Amino acid sequence: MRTKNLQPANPLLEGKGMAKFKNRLARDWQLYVLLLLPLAFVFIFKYAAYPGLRIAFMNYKPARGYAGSTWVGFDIFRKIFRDADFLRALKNSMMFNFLDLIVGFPVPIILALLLNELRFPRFKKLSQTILYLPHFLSWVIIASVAYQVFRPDTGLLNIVLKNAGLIENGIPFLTEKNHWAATYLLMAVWQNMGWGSIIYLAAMTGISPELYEAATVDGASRLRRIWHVTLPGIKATMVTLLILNLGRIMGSNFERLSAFGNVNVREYQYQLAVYIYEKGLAGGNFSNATAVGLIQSFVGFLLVLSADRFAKGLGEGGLI
Amino acid sequence: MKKLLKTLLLLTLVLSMTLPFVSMAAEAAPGASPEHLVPFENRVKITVPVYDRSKEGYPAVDDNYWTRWVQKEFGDKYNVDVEYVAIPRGDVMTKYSLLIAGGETPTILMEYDYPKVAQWANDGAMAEIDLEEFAKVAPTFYQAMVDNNQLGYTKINGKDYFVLTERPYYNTTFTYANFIRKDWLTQLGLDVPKSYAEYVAAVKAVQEAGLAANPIGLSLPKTAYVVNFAFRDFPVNEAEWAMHSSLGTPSLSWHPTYKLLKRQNAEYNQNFFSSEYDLDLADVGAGASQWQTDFINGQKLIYGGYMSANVSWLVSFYEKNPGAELAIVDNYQVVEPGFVDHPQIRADNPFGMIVGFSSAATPDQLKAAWMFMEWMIQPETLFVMENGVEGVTYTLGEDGLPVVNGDYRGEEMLNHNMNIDMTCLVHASKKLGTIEQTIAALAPKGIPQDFTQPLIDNYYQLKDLADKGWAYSDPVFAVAIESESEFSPTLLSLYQEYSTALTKCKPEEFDALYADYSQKFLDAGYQQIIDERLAAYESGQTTKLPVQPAQ
Repeated sequence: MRTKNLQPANPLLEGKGMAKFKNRLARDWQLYVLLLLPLAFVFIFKYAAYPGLRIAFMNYKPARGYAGSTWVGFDIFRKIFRDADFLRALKNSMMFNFLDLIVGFPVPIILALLLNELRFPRFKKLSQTILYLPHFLSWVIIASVAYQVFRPDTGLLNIVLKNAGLIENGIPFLTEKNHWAATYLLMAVWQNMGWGSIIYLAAMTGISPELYEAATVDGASRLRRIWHVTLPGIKATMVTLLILNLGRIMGSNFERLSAFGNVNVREYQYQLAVYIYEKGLAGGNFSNATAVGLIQSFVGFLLVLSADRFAKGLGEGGLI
Repeated sequence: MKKLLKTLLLLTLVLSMTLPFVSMAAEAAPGASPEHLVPFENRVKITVPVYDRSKEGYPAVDDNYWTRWVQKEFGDKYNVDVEYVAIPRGDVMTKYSLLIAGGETPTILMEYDYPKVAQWANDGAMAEIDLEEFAKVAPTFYQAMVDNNQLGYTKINGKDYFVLTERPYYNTTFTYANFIRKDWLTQLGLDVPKSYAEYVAAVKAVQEAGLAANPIGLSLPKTAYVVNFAFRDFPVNEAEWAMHSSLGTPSLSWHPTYKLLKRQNAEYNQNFFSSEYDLDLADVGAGASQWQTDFINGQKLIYGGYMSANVSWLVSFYEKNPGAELAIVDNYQVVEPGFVDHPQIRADNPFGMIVGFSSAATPDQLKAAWMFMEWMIQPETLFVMENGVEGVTYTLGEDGLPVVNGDYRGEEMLNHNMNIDMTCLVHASKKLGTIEQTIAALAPKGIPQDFTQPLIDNYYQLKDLADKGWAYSDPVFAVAIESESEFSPTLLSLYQEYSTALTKCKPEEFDALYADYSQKFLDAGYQQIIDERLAAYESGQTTKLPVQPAQ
């Protein structure tokens, strides 16, 4: 247990601290100026919008403004929780985000481990560049290409498979809900794995080469070195990213859902972002949209806190 | 000889250098200058919505030659800044919602569908207006409303919110035409189908001849309009009509929609449509839908759209299919005795745009918007906006009427459908003296076939249907249907999902699936909507169905 320092602050030390701070400010002022931009971003887009949350507790009519709209307490939330569509959207969102996590979380780690083992620098750089590229494509572009490739009758892949005599009827990659789910999840893995591996590769560069040398001297094979040196070396990074990703379990990406969606797969595509769009923005019901957004943020926050506690329980540093 | 060649070369050079200047020198004629309109002392800014149809090869709808011409001819003359706001045609309500929420409500709000404007009025986005004041500022516009018998449609909840634009020949859909591959029919020894049996025979013959595997196009319903008029009982029950006949929400559980989808299912199972039609999300008749692309590429028997002097898909069709011949599809081709007895059609509303004004507009902005409408409705203004620059976008024919050059793609080119998305502020389609002259003006130009006479014949056939009472519109409600704004976006998505499943299922599964989906649809909010509509109808808050003679 830590004891609190009950001694009065030493004015001399305080003065010293201030002088140190001023010195650092004078030395690194360019960096502090750069820091202002992200701080302003966080303040404007994350905190300045907070007063708008009152919309969730009002029957808000944009044209009448806050003053002209009536307070309704928790009525909007009650209505949402009684709405079968919300519960369906919530279930789908959590299910798909959880699957995204299970399928998508280990892949960048495996990829980083593989890239880390490559011994030809040029080939390594080329591979990395190719793997990062999909991250810079928007979902609209990815989905457009996916539809050209995966259409059941006229998609490139199905045509090739049919011509090769491997299938008789086109595989409904995007038009049958279970096939769609697999395609939807794997496309996200494809898009994110390269980019996601960067942070692990960075963590791996921080591992002391002496550990590898010692392991080699002890006769450890390559796999053993990965298992006993590399993985423990990036464990803290993995835990941090896992906690951050858990906070997104309640999230929902409208761009991805909208670009990949079609009428045949609505049963799975109907997630919170679609619900918010249809029952919130499209009908001008901003109260509904805000209330659902608030629920998402609240649950996401609780999940991050729980994951943080859990990580600390396992002996990791956690986030907070 | 050498000298002659030199002279010719020199002449060509001079001409090529001077012609662009000749073209640049041609300018659009000025707009009208109504005497009673007086410029503002201080600058006033108004914002005006304009549909953005994302059409390839067309200029930006909110910044082009014609928006600048409006500013010059109206704005600068009356000390008004006219700013156009692009509204995506496929997502009107969301765009307006965001504009209203962002405090950027356009000075003018307008839509073709009554439920939408009723929602805006009900939510406080629209200003209550004094029609007498409007008549003082815009007497020509007001008189047109009187002449078109539109004063009964200006109110919602007992208060005046709207002014209405003219829809010429509204009880016929004469500006829309379906085209069929006449060259294919001739090759197969068939005539243009005049009944459903002939239509099915033609489609099957095309399939069997290997001309097209899926000769008919089908697109996902992007709007709530269900084309089920032909499948209704005649005369239709008025209460049912009030409950279900609407552009606001699709009527999945109504019997005519059952019949429509049943026929669609039968056609799908005979491979009339592509099995991937449901993956095409573009608007039929507006954007480049797969159906349109396939028709242009010579893979479809039929395609249709709105007519104007510049119908780009028709131009592309003839370029891709030299020697092809098209005919206009007969309006009776839906008739199948016992299933569809009359070719009933949806007459449009007796008005075009329903126009309201922002509740956030200042009195000066309101007045400027009314002045703008009064200026635009003047024949001189409309003539320039709908025909463009003489010698560049149109020439005058022997009869003195303008002939628009549909191919022109220079700076002064007219936007979609002869600038209709700007002139819709005063009328729904271009109108000249007689229907024949009107059709002659909007018959497609720049293509090898002249459809003026077939379009006139089509009009008279449609008029014949209307005269028989087979053309009628949807009810207009004098109160806002609150449940409609809450549930309609979800119900449209459900309709897309359910109607696709019903179209693609096996015929023997259709009835059970329809019963299941109908119930789910009612439970998802449609029951509340039809209950509210029925209550409004029973309390006399709707228009009435025109008297329909028993046939």
